[in-house]
This record gives sequence, C-alpha cells and structure tokens, in this order.
Amino acid sequence: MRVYRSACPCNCYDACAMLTYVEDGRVVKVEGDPGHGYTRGRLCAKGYAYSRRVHSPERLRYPLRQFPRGSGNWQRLSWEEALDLIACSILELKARYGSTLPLAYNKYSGNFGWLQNTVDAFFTSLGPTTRAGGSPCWAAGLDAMYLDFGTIYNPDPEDLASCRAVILWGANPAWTSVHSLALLQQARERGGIVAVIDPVLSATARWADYYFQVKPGTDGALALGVLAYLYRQGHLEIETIARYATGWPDLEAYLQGLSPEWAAAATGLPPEAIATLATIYAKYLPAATWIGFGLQRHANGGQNVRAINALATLAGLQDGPGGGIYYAHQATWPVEPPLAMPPDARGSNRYLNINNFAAELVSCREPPVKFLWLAYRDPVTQEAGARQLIRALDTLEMIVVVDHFLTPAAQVADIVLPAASLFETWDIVSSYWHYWVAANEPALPPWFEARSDLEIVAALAARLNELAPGSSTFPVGRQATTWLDILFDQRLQDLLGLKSWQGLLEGPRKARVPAPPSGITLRATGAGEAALPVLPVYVPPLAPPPEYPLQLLTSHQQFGLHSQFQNLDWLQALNPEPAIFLSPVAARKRRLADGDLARVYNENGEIIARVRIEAGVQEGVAVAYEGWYGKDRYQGKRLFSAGDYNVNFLTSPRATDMGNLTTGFPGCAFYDCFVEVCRL
Amino acid sequence: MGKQLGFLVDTEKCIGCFGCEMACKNEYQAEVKPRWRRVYQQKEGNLPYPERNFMSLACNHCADPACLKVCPVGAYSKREDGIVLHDHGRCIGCRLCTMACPYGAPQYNEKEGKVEKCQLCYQKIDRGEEPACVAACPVGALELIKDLASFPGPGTVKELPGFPDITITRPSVRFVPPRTGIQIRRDAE
Amino acid sequence: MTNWEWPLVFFTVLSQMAVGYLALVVPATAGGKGNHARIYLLPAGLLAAAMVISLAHLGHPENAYRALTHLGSSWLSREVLLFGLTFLLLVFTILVARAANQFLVRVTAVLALGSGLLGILASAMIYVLPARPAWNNFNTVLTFYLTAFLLGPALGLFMQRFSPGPAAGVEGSATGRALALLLVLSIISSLSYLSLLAGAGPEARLTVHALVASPWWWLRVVAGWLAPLGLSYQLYRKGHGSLALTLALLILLLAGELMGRALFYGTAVPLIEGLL
Repeated sequence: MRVYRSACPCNCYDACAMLTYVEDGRVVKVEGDPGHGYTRGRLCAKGYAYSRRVHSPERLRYPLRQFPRGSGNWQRLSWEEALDLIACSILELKARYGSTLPLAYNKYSGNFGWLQNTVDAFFTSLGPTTRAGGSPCWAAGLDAMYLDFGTIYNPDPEDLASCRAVILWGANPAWTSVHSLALLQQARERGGIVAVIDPVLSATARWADYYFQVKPGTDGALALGVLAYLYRQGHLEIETIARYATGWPDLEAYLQGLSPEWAAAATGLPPEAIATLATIYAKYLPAATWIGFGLQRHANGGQNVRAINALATLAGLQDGPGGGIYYAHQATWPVEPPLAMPPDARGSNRYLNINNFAAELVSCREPPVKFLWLAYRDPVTQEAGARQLIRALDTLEMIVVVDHFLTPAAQVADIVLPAASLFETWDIVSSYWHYWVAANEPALPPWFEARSDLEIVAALAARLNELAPGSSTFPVGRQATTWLDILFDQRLQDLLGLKSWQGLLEGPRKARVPAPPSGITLRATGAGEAALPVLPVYVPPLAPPPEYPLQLLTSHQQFGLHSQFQNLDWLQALNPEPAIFLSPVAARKRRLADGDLARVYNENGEIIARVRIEAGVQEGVAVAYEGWYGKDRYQGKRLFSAGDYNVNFLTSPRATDMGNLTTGFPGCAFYDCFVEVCRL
Repeated sequence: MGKQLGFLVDTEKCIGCFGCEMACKNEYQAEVKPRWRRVYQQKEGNLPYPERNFMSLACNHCADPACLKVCPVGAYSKREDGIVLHDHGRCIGCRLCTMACPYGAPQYNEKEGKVEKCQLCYQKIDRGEEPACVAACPVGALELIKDLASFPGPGTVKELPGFPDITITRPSVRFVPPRTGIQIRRDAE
Repeated sequence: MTNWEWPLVFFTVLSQMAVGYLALVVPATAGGKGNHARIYLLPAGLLAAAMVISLAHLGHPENAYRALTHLGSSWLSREVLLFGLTFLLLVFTILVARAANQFLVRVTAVLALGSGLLGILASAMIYVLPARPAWNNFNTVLTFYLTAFLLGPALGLFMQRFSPGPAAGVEGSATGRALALLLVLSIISSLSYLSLLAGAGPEARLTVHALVASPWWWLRVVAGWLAPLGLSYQLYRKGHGSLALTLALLILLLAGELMGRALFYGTAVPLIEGLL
C-alpha cells in the first residue's frame, strides 16, 4: 500500500489536502492530511466518499458520441475518432465564418485546480473565441468589497479562533466549511460567542449562541438598523471613523433617519433583536463578520453586502486580531499563463454573461456561436433558467462535454470525453478562504481511457495542427509539471516562500497573508458610475407576486457540492430524494403533510419534490437544495430524475445589482425566485 | 473484566456533518448498507430537542450486550477492553441480534447474508490509534472514553430523551446534552 | 420498517400447529388403539416442513447446525434443540409403533409432546426482547400457545372427518366448545394487549397505530376470529360438522393465525425508532 498526496479541487472554502492510500491500483482509503493547517487531517462527508466517485461503476470510461443529440443513442469512439470529429468541426466553422468566434467554451468551478487555466490557454491558442464570463457564485459581493475597500481582502480565517464574537451572516459552514466550525468552537471555548443571521434555521444556526431569522434579502436593513442604533447610543468612535471612512458625513445623515422599529419592520425581527445584535457588535471585540455567498444572490445583494461592510467596519474599528470582514480572496490563485494567439488571428475574445448564457448564446450574431466546449461544470443543473439553456444548446452544431459522469449537460451533448480525476493527475489547489496551498500528485493509473483536461486539449491542438498547420499555438508537448512551473510565478513563490512548487510535495504550505485595506469608502463614486447608490443605503428586496407567494431559496445542499458527489451511493443513502422544505404554517395552508409529493411551480416551470415540514423555515419561504440530478428510477418508479427535479427550472437569470466591476458581469439573483406549491 | 472503552457523544458540539459516518465507510470501504455508524437528526416536536439536534451513534459496546446473549451461534464476544466483537465467519445470518439490540447496531448485510456492526476499529485500538469516526470529527464532538469506570465526565449524562432505555444493556456511551442558543425566529405560529 | 418475515411466520405457525395436534392426539391415543405410525406421521411431517422453511430465514442455511452452540443464553439455540428433539422423538415413536411396542410409543409420544410444548415456550421467549416493546410482554407467550391450541384441534377435527379412525377422542361438540372459548380468549387477550401497548411508550403506540391502520389486521379479525367463532359455535350446537365445515374452520383459523403472525413481525417497532 502506498500513500500519495492529494488535494481536493472542489469549489469549497476548505480546499483540503488529503492522503490517498492505494492498493492494486485502487483507492482504498482517503484521509485528511494532518500537515494542512486549516483542515488538520479531517475531511468532510463528501471527501470521505471519494473512493466511490473515482471507482464508480457509472464513471465515464471512453469517449462517447450521441447521435442524434439527446436521443440517448450512445456510441463508443476511439480518442482518434473523437478528436477528429471535434477538430473537423472547429476547422469547418473557422473556414465557414472566417473567424474562431463561433467557438465558445463555458467552464467554472467543478475543479479549481491550477491546471484548469490550460483550457483557457488552449482556446487562446486558437485565436479570439467566445467565452462565458462572470461568476454565478460571488460576483455581487466581490463588487461590494471592491467598492468599499478598493481591494478583495480576506483576513486569515485561522484568526476566527481568537475572536470574541463571530457573526455568520448568511453563512452555513456546518454544511459548507466544516473545518471552520473547529475554529468557531475554539472561539466559544475561550468565552466568545457565535451569532447566525439567516432566513432559515440552518445546522449552523441551531448550533450557534444567537440566531436571528430575517426575511430573505433584508440583511441591509438589519445592518443599517444596528449601525443607526450604535450611532444613537454613542457606541461609534466618530473621530476614528472620520479618519478611516471616506463619506462618513453622508452616511451619518442617512443613519439619523433610521430607527430600530424601521429595521424591525423591514427584516421581520422584533425591535429588541436590533438592540441585541448591536450589543454583540459593541461589547464583544474583536468581532468577525463572515458574509456568506447566499445573501448576495438577490437583486439587492451587493447593496446588502455594502451595508454589512459599513456596520462591521464602523463598529469594529477597535478590533484586535481576527476582527473584521470575511468574504473570500484570490490572493493565492494563479493567473492564466500567457500564450500568443496564432499570427493570423484578428480581434479579441467575446464574452457572454455566464449567468445569462442561454439568452446571450442565441442572440449573439456575426458570427453566431456554433461550437461549445463544456468543462468543469454542468450548467444544466447549475444555471438559472435551465429549460432555456437546454433550448439554447440545441441551436448549436457541436457540443463537447468533458466530465466524470453522464451529467444532464452531457446528456444533451454530441461528444462526451471522460476526464481523469484528481487521483490520476498533477495539480495544485488553493483556497478562496484560507491561505494554505497544496499539491496533488497522481496516485492511480489512468481510469480506462480517461484523460486529464490538459491532455485532451493538448491532443486536440496536435490534431488541429496536423489537419491545418498553424491552427493552434498550444505547446502540445508541455507536461503538466511544466505548466505548474509556469503557473508558480514569482508572486506565488514569494507568497509561499518557495522557489519551486515541488516544495509542496513535502506538505501543504501557508501563504503570507496580505495587508488589510487601509480604509473604507462609504461614498463610492464607482457605484454612482454604475447607476447604483453611492452610499450603502438600504434597497428593499423584490416582493413576491401574489400568485407565487413563497420565496424559493435554492441553497447549497449538504451531501453534494453543487452537482458533484450527490450521485454517489454512500451519499445518496443519506440523501435519497429531493425535498421541498416548508414551514408548518405554509404546509397547513396548502393541506400538505410531511412526506407528500408536491409540485413546485412558477411561470418558468415546475419540479416534483417530497414535502418536508420543518420548524425553522419561516412562513414565506420554501427551501429546495440545488445540485441534485437524481436517478432515472427511484423505488421502481420514474421519480426524482433530472427531468423532475432541477431547482433551476424555476429560477430565472435575473441579475444582481453588482458584479461587473470584478467579474465583468453581474451575478445571478438565484434566490429572487417565487413559487407556489401544491400536492401532486 | 478490565476497563471498558466507550464513546462520548457531545451533542452540544455536533453539527451533524456526517463526517464520522462517512469516515467509517471510507475506513472499511463498506457497502451502502449497513450503516455501522449513523447520525440521527431530530426534529422539533418529536422529542424535547431543538431543531437539527444530532446524535451520532454506532455500537455502544454495552456492558451487558443483548446481541451476545441471544446469538444462537455464539458469534459475539466481549474483549478485555469491553469491545463487543462480532465474528463474521461464525454468523449464520439469523438476524436475532438485529431484533434484540435496542440501538439497531447490528445490521443485516443482504449481499453477504450476515450481520455486521461497528467493532470499534479494534485493530486501530490495538495499534494505539483512534477509531476512524473519532479521528474524523472536525469539531471534536466524538471522543473515545478510555475507561468508562473512571470517566468523570462533568456535565455528561448517560442518556438523552429518545435514546433507548439504558437499563436493558448498559451501553458504554456518554453524552454532553445539547445546548440551544437564543433564537429569534419568525416561524412561530 | 415493515418486514413480514414470511419464513418465520410459517415456521412458528406450522410448528405450533404440529405441537397443538400432538397435544390433542397424545392423550386421545393413550388407550393404545389405532395406527400410531400413521397418527404421528402428520405432526412429524409438519414439524419437519416448518424447520425446513425456517432455514429460508437464514443468510447461511448451510451452517444452521451451529445454532445449537449457544444453549447457555440463547433461546433460539434452545428452540432449535427442543424442536429438533421433538422431531427425533416423533420419528422414534413412529419406528417403535411399527415394532408394536405400545409402552415405548406412549413414553416417546409423551416426551415428544413435552419437548414440543417447551419448544413453543422457547420460540416465544426469543421475542420477549426489551428492544421491541410490542413483543416484550406475556402476550407473546400466550399468543404462541393459543396458536397451537387453536390450530391443533382444528387440524384434528378435520383429519377425523377426512379419514375417520385413529384419533377417536376428537369429539365434535367438545372441540367446538373448546375452540369457541379459546377464540374468545384470543380476542379478549388481543384487545387487552392493544390497550396495554397504547398505554406504553411511543414505539408501542406506533405498533398499535400500525395494527389498527392495517387492512390485514381487520381481515384477521374477521377471517381469523369472528368467522371461526361462528363455525365453532355451530359445531358445538350440532355435535359434529361436515367435512366442508371442518375444512373451512381449519383454513380460516390457519389464515387468521398466519396473518396475525405476519403482523406480529411486521409491526414490532424497535426502540431506536424513537430517534428518527
């Protein structure tokens, strides 16, 4: 039995380093790497199920072609045949339109390993192409950070352990960052408190010392109500604020018009709750505010984050180590390696909003998009307005999906290529939360004919150049380890104090944490230019239409990471069927009992889910977790398949207020989704 | 009889992450069923618990194990350290232990036609290591009690509401009871 | 959680019927008349069939012999031993009957009956488990013996009609009265059992809800209790029943006991359910 260094590349705060035990070419066990300072030798439930993913009988083994598309008529191809079909399509489109812009790709967070950048490099090597830009995840919040602080900064989350108060604002780390709970536990053991603000009584909220149940999308009113209360009570250090915060007089004038009663009415909390939260901010210092990604997935999401930024910053100016605002960072992430386009290439890349991809795909002209490469993601389960996306995809001539499983997106593709897993490849993984970086070495021989994304694009580039010399400038002979040499540039070397990334093969390493921002801009002129309020004032959320009175929150599930892991047998045993969670009152009004099958519907479509009545869900809210793509048959019936349950049949690609500045496009207001529920 | 090993389940710390249950599967590359360790989630109203209170349970390696008593083939034995061992080779799959255990610890594996249960990672214990579930808990909510008799456990209790009657088998498990914070909720009727 | 345990249902009911039949014929043939080999063939066959069926319950029937190895504390080991012994004694009885040794026949038949009656006790004690509140009471023992004493006479009555002769002691009127009284006892004990469970813990209450909500339980009430009660009263009044009547009585009682036993296994809610 040999032990290898692995790193989980999933879209997760914790970005664990793992030790993988291999026997006879099989993973027989995974363990957390105790040398990783943030995850300390422990994994989450999903991570412990890795052996079921890498050796799953459902995992793709060979290149496949579906003809006709969507028919389910799959035919095994050799790699030569598959790459020929793709290369011919690329060259034919390039000749037909005299441009490489009909070639598009859309990739996101299914694998955040550094080598993901090589797929961008491959498309650059062809000439100007069409790319999905923006982020479905964190765009509005990133912009709010950028407007307020001029930078994207995350304190070292290991300092959470030394805080006297940790306010989890719309974050549910018990499900999405289990290792952070250990730090919160330490803070508690040292006499600190943990408060949770969330529209739903999450597992973290139940565990916390304080829980505030707000109406969805009203976080800004709570933050500003608390700030106004602190101001009235004389808890703010006005002189320090005047030095540290630009635009304070304007905000001061605004705060004078706010009262706890106003904030209470807006948020649905009693006025005393405003005072309670204010007391936490005033008395428990240092206080850390962890802003989750969920609360910014509203049409007023960025504005709400700015309001929380204002509160947490102005109330916490005397904070010691650990205090401040936690959101995310990209300090330890590599940049796309430079690569020249072919000499005959003209023009520049065309970007489509990843959050409105379906509409932009079909509306894009001169030239239209005809070819789509989907990798590291399943937009059919993850993109708002999934039905429109399926229709939009059908207008294309060639869809290539690279994945581990026959996902819903793969099921509407022409060619599906089997991707190597993390256990079969080299990579490096950073976190957007903590500052540890870990290397991943190949632990297994290739799985049947699966290849890494890098190997796939390199082979495709080689084939393109055989068919039409000079089509691609991609360095086809460059090994993964050489790519990592390039990506591990001077900046990353300095941050990690390593000359070469091979130093990570001795164990994960922590990067130097950058300096915090030097002030807050309460009066953000950049916001004004984008037709947004310059001050972090309250913008109310969208109200539900009368016919769809329930606000559907499609939060992250516990037993999957977006659409990954949930299909594994060990995890499906814990999570056998998708559910719609309703409050006892909402269920009674609709004559629904726990365990009933229900139809959840709105103007966009409908899904079928099992009713689960849960105290802890407020009356105007329904919760259905995202990322399920089900099974074709369940208990002998066709139930809960990908066609019956996909929360994004109900969502629409509504833009968040912010996101352009940092990601190029607004984010997606996934949670401004309104539905009605009835018995099936 | 020497010392008795046991589990300490801290329901105040437990966040219901199911890491312990999956770490157990990972350690033994076990089938989907049985679930040797299982995290129970309680719902408000069913029991006097706050919503989303969790209880992670496996075999309780009872002082007076019902499985051992009823087994017609004598497949169960109790080690010096109190671990209740099930001899997979001897088991004929009569399932009587699955009926007799108050905690549902022994479970039938349809594929093998035999019963299985948590053996408290006795091989690891013999090597001086922690059981897989304990080692995996990110918040230290699951601990191995090395000697139950001398376990002082201030603030610990022997049973919690909903936990089957401990007088039947005298389970080797102790709990830290759950704590509920101040909840300002809008879901009250 | 529903698990009807069909092999166990047939094993327990058939073995109990065999012992109940023995309880009828052993005293009736004490006088020493009749073809004993033929009489004991039926309970021996029934018991053998029951034990073969019980193997289907095991994950590894090929190692069933090991079940005899934990007599010290396992009621299941004791059950296997006692029913095994009963069967061997019956075989021996048949063999000595052929050799016309009346004394030995009487001794071995009585021993077989004793061992069978103890076997039923062992069967019942297997299920007297604190982990299953629905089973953890005297009703389990009572139910198992009632099954034996209802089905045994019903079988005897039918055999008497079907092939008159050997079990001469089976008298219609007395049997009809005995069956009617046992049925009334069965109904009353079941009702008191339900009220006992309803007043006990949450798992026991779940069992009551499951029973009362099950159409099978109501079918068992009608087919297994009320209809046979009517027939046995008729038998008592008439003094003797037709072949059809005795057959109907046997079938109804057997069906009722099988359904009742399936419900016994299928609705015993374990204590751990309280955590779900």
